[in-house]
Amino acid sequence: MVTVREGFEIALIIAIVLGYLVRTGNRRHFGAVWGGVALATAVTAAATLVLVLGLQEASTSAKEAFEGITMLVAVGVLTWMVIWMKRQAASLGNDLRSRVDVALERGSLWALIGLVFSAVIREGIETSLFLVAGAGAAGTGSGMRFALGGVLGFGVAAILGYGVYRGSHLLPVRQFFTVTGLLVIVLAAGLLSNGLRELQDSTLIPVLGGRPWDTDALLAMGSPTGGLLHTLLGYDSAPSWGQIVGYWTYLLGGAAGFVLVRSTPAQIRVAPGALAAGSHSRTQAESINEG
Amino acid sequence: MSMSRWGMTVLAAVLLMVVGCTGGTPGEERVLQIMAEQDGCTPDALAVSAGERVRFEVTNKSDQDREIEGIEGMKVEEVLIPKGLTRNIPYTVPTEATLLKLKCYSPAGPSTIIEVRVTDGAADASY
Repeated sequence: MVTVREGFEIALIIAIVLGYLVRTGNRRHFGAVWGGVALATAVTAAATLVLVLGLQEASTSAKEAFEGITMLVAVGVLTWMVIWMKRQAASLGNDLRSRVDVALERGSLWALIGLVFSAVIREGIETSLFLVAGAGAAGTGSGMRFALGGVLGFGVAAILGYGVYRGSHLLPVRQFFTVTGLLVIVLAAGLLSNGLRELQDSTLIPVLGGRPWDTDALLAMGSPTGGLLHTLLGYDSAPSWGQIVGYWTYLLGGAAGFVLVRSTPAQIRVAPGALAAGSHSRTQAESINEG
Repeated sequence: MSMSRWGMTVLAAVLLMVVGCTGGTPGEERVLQIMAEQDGCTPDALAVSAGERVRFEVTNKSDQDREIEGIEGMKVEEVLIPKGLTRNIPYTVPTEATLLKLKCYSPAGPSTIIEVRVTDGAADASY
């Protein structure tokens, strides 16, 4: 289950990025994104080895502080992605229903690759350390079965991510950006809560206010379902007031800002004749700044 | 595939994943109580039977949050035990006789290693 839930978050980010590339006529950049995934996987394996061999003596609080900081950095990256998606959606006219060939700025491509890279690194190291520790149990047989279970978990996550990717094709372009933008806001809000929790656990920051409720009896954090919701949505059975305020402020503020605030359209260049039949090309052409 | 059929398919897949993760019938596990206090956790040793399903019931009576996790290969993910609260951690014991370890600690405070001895026969809670 650990690799299913951690892997699904990775698969979700990859599905969103690949879906965006498809919807903007940039399928040719798939190779670059998968190259980023492969590189991140290699870096994750190397980093895991270093951590297992070299940092076993690191204090627990240092490890938790590191996790919390990387989670908050991830919130920053995802927030940037949401703002960027908002601008992309604003650039597409209401009447546009088909794919357009949008010339992807070089910086934007590297940013997308960087997003996938960071997601694989962040979740991959955490999961790899758990798999290494678990596979090191006494007895070659049980260790191998555990490792195999971990790999199968990643496989399940990949299948679920593919389902999300395929499903995104069914949405009109503008709705695709809206749905994925809101999905990223939900993920980022959960990461914010989880990041604050790690920093509190590490004692780098104090527990922010009391813990007003405890729902562990209803849905235990240690249960597979609770763990899955913790990873994806930031579920915490006994959150601190700081986590609660941070989570809801980000979620509601981010969603409201994303939906209500009009954004300046991004500077995009549409290839001549690229607009599909059925769209209002005259209106679209007037709103586009040619590069 | 239409949106509605795709949506139903994804919903079914997610529900299957969630239901499939809920584990076995509740109430079948043997409960092993662990108490986290100001100067450490007790007991410092537990005995379980190979293949047994148990539930660690960890109560934090100290004035700091505590954490508990399996170490040296014991597959128990880190669980936070907020001060004053109790957490239940289900665990399926390996099928081989061995010695496992739980670490019960506060990042800025005392740490206790709880030895969990796995035996082939029926076991009492502690040894």
